[in-house]
Amino acid sequence: MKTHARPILLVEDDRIDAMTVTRSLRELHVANSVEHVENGEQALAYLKDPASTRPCLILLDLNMPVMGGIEFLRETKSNGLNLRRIPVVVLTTSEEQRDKVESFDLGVAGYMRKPVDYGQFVDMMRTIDAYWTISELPD
Amino acid sequence: MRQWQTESKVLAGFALAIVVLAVVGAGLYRTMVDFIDTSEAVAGSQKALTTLEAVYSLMNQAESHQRIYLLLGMTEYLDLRQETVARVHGQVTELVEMLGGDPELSAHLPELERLVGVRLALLDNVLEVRRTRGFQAGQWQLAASPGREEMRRLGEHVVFMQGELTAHLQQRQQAAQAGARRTLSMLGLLLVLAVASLTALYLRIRRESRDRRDGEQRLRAVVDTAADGIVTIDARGRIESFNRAAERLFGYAASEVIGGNVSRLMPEPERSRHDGYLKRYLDTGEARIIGTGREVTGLRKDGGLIPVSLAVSEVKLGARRLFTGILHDLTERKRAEQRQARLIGELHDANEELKNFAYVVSHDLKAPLRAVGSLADWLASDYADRLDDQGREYLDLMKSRVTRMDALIDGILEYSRVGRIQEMRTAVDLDTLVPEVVHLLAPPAGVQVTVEGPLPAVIGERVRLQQVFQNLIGNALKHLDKPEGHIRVACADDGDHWRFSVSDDGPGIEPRHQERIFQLFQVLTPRDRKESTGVGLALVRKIVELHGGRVWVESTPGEGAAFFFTLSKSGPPDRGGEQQP
Repeated sequence: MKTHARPILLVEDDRIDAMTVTRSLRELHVANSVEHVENGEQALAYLKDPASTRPCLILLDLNMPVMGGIEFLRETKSNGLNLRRIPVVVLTTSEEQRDKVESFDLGVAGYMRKPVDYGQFVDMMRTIDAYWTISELPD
Repeated sequence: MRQWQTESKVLAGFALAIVVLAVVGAGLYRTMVDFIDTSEAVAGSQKALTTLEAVYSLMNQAESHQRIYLLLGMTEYLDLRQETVARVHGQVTELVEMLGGDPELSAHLPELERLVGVRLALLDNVLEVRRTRGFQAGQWQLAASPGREEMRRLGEHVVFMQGELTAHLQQRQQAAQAGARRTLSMLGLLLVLAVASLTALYLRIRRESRDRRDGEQRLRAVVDTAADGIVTIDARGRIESFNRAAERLFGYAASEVIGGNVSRLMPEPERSRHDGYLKRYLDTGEARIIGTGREVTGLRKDGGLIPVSLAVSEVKLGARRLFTGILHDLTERKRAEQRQARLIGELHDANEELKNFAYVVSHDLKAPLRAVGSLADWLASDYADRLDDQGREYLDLMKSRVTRMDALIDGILEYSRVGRIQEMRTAVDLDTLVPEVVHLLAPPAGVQVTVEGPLPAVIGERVRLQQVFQNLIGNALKHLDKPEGHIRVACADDGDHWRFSVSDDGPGIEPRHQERIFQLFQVLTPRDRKESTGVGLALVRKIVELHGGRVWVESTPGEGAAFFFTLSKSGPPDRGGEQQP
């Protein structure tokens, strides 16, 4: 990541998927901290909380209890949270065209399918890290 | 046509009977006239006979009177004698009058007149002698009786004439009788004819009326037993007939509604409008329902509403215009439609559920699978120093099974997506698509893939067509059992279809498997040896069939296999389904 000061917000309900993300980031020596929340509602609460640090990247699962990823994206839009400046990468199992279209309509920066193979997962995370290391972000 | 024929036949029969009766009447009239004539002639002849008799007897009387006068000199006998002679003249004159019309008989009259005249002259002569020469001379004259011979001749002539008269009379009577007999037999014949023709006429009319009655009864039976309600109204909307099915349909007895306005069988607002509809139709011919049919709502006696299909036709009976409505109860059909709609709804729901199922599978089945895969991976790496070869092999097997299950789930998702989600249909140029597919599949060095172009452009879903070629060429590559091989892609014109083929020189497929391979999850080799989901050919078949074609395989084991599929030149048939954006 370009900056190590800001955390990565991981919105993921599945414990092992969350472990997969944190483990792969650790293996890739990504220095940013990972803030793990379990659904969209908690993610909104984190973003609204003045005490919390603004993340440099949001990794968003779509299928979650309480509030799913798509609903979270809609909420952030209508709540006027300035989310556009935080890149959101969807990490999901869904191959549904509908989900892809809605996600991009709501301004996501990327849409990735979680591979079943852990090695491929690490490769995917490496690409994400590499991209956001090169890409500039507004403060 | 038949009606007209019958009527003209009856008319002809009547005319014939009337003519016959007229002829009979005329015949009778003539016979009667003849009879009267003959009777008159008979009476006339009788009189003529009597007159002849009278002439003869008066002549005798005259002679007797004259003789008495001559013998006794009594003058009153002279007077009587004169009177009698006068009567003789009168009778002769009458006879002349009577027989004057008959030349045959009147021919004998002069002789009679002459004989009477001779006889009277003789009498006169005797009388003259008496007057001129005295009483004695007269008596001598008398004794000499000079007129005896003349009297005998007169008598003979009278008898002769009587005979003539009688013969004439008989002849006439015979002629009249023969005529009457002839006329009567003729009349009898004609009467028989008239009776026969009237009988035939009667039978004809009776049959006709029975036919008509039968026809009416049959029609009534048909109308009464018809499953549909049949109601007839006149031009003012009054009900003229109401069959049993209509009674059942509306709950009214026919007697309750006949003569009443048909609008009572309709709910508002039709009830108030019906007279207007009818009037407008009669005035302008503008039909809302006549000649066609449509679904309407009927009002039952109990106030219930019933859906009916109504077909109205117009019948013109002379100047009268009738309208016949046939009403079919749609309650059952409506119920069936509702049931059908409900079933379709349920089917739709079930379909939705299936779609959701695919979605759920993709999300909820994959997450634990991924977890298993990751955990196996972490175990292998984190505990590498504590695992022996066996443990590592187990973990490797576990990871490979996770990968296979992932592929299976993807296959299910892909298979369920085909047909459920309709992609854009465009003209797909296979001449560019197929080489792309071959390139993507990256055949190994020893394998030659020939595309025998030019391939046509077809209308369809690009991604799906790509999947078809990808699976067929991919299978040929995957199942090739030797390092060198040749795969051939070709196309033939098959009328309104294109017939494509992908053939290889691989191991081929046994005939008993040739249908099974197109079924979902059917593989011929163990998955351990050849990683295969068993989705590919099922997917190919589904795609080809959705594009309006069919797919089959021709193969001889050991000599390779050829997969064929057809695609319609006019594009795939239309089908429902959601369009992908």
